[in-house]
Amino acid sequence: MRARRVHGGARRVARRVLARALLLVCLVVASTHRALAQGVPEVSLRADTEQVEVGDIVAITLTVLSDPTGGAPSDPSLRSSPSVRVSAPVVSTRTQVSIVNGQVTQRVGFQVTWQVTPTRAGKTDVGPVMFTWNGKRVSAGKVHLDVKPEGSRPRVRGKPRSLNPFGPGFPFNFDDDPPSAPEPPPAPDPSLSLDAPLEPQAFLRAVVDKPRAVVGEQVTLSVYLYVQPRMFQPHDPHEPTAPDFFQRPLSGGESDMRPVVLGGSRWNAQIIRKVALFPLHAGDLEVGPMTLTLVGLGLRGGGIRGGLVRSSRPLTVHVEEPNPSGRPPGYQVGDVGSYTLVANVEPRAIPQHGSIAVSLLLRGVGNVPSALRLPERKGVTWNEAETREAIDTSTGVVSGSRSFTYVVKMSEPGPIDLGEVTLPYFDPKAGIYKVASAKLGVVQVLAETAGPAPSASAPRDPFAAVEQARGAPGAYTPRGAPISDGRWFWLAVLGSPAIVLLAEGGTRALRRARAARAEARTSTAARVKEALARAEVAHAARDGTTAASAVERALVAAVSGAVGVALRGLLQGEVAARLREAGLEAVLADDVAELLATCDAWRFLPGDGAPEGDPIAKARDVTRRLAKHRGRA
Amino acid sequence: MSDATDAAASAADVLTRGRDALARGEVRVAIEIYESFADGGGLHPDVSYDRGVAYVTRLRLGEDKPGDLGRAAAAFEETLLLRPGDEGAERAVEAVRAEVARRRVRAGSTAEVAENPSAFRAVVGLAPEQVWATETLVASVVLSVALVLRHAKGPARLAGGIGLALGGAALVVFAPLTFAASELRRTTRTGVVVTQEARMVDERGLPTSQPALPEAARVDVLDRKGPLVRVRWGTAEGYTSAASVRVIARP
Repeated sequence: MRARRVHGGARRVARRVLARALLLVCLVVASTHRALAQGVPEVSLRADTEQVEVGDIVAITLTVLSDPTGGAPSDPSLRSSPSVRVSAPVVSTRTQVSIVNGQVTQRVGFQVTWQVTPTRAGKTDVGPVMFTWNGKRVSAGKVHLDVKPEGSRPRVRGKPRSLNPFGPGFPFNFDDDPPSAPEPPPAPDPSLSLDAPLEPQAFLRAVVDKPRAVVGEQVTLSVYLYVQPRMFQPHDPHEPTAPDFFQRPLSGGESDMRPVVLGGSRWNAQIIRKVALFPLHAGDLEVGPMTLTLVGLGLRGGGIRGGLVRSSRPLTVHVEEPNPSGRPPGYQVGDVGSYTLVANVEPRAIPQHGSIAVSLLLRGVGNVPSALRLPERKGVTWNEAETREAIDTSTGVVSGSRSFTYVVKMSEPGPIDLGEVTLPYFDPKAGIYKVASAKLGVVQVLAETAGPAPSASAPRDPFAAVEQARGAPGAYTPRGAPISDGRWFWLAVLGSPAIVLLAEGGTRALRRARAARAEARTSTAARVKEALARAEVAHAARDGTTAASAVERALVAAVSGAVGVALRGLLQGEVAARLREAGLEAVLADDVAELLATCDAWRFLPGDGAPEGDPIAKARDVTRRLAKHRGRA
Repeated sequence: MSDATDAAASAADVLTRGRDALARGEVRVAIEIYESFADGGGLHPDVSYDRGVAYVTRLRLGEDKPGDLGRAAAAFEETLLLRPGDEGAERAVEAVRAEVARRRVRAGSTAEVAENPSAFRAVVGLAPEQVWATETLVASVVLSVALVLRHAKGPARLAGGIGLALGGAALVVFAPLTFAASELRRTTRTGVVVTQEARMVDERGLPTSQPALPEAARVDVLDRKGPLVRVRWGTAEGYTSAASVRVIARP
């Protein structure tokens, strides 16, 4: 009896639990339905696995979509905990468009992925994961992880995860590579070798795989940590700054410690960062240093907790734009890599003013471009694209795919050839431009029975004054540099009048000097000659006084012309000495003094008396010698 | 084939392809063809003109993008710089600026799109530099000959006196104008605002009290400093974003 009662009680309890569970399910379904009807966002939070080991990487993905009229969700966050290490989130916007019977409905939102690495064994909750919607913080819940100790399960490499992030319904095959064979264990990394340590105890070393690149080409930055063997913990990392690059962290950015010999002593080394950098513009672009604090035995410094602070050296990458020669129309600087483009158009027949969906998939190696060149056709209107991306960084080279889904409205009836979608890009390996393209084909647009009425009055064209395109070149001769650019210009402008003036002034000065000299020369000689002639005449007329005066005048003129000495102001006894002082030869000076004395005596001789000798001949000789002296001077 | 012939052939090809694209309604393709020609260093007034027409076509179709009015004005200004006196380009740039003014008035802003240059700039801009330079050279020659003739006799002496006065005065006027025009050409470039409005900032990028530059306004670009360019619009001078101003290519 007692046992039956117990059994009956258990059944009642079970029925009650079942009834409550059913009620709960109904409530959940009803509330979900009501919430969706009110535009509450659709939230999906998932981890790619829940059974992990310490050190494994788990991708946690949050997808939130909502009706655009209810406000777009934003600002996702994942609360970290000491038992896990969380990477920076990768966020992509999402737009979901569905066309049912020509009715277009749209939901907008985002998808965000964190890479989480457990650091402790045991069961742990990651989160909560939050986002903002309608001005409120909304929780998307937590992710439960069962973390096993490292090495507790055999390492078997399975089939790589599918690259298709868009689900099985997407019309393109992402997984066309054959399954890869198990990889061999990693070989020793020669890139760790150095001739000598850069700093004592520990140091950081940053290297780029290429010092020159074109805008948009991947440059891989690796940062290595070298430490002498000891226990330590890294703290307070400051990432390298690279504002002139678009950055994408690469998988395998942290390697295990490996032994390496530097300068004869043993060190341990590991890669602590590996980042793909895509230059945003040309120039010598700088990658800043990475800084890390190491706390451990014997590692003392000014860092956090007294740890040793180490920084890598800044690097410079020379970046150029791809050669403009051969650049295809529509090429956007930065579209670099190697790409293929495929297209899918559905449906192929629609009514006039209806819409079609054009799905384009761009995939390849490089920082996959975010814009394509769409064909333009009359009556074809392309709406904003819904884009999704799937990026693979596992090989150290950024590759992946980006899908673009367009809703295209078609307003012109008839068969419409949509043309070709293209993406011009630069292939840095081949060093040439290429164009990825996909033909869209023809869509049949069925005409409406009654079209829209044309407007009664056409609007005024504000550009009526602008003529049609010319289409053919008119006469045009490029202007050369203006004549004022020539070096000779200012020389000619200012130099020609200056030269005329200088020439004129010079000529005048020369003429004046010549005239002055000639005048000086002719006057002295003339005066001497004239005085001596008078002396001759006076002497012939037996007029001794006049002859003596004339000889004296000739001497005075000749001496003045020769040495510039005025004899009239001198006493007779001073004459010879003064003339010697003035530079006259002593003999000539004495002759002048003697002749003057003779003239004095001659002047006072009575009647027609004449001094001894021929004073006039002597005067002629002295004046000739004085003239010679003047010529020499 | 000479470089000039190559360039003419290339321009002819670009003009044909651009016109065909416009005829097919592929305005963006046409713009890309013209812009590629310019990016590659190609210069031809008719290609610049057709580039402006392509932007105007996009405006006419209502498929315009912000800055299309400025880009159209820049293209027509380029035509005028390469071929001064091109009447079609003059009318087109006036139509574009009138439309900018209309839109600014509708938006409650001022209608000024063109600003008077400073008096000095206006005087220097009265004639092309080549004209000032030629006149300076002629004045110099006249002055030199007059200096020689003034010592002659008769009518030559009279001519020398007149030439001395006229040549000297002309040299005093034209030589500074030539120098100023040459300096302006060397130190400034012509640019056109290709955003709906370009805010003036100081050297550090902080806003100033200077008026904002309207779209399609023609400015003197004086200098570039990182992401900023120093511009002069009328008598206003300051920095603005380099992306807001399209510097016009010159021959």
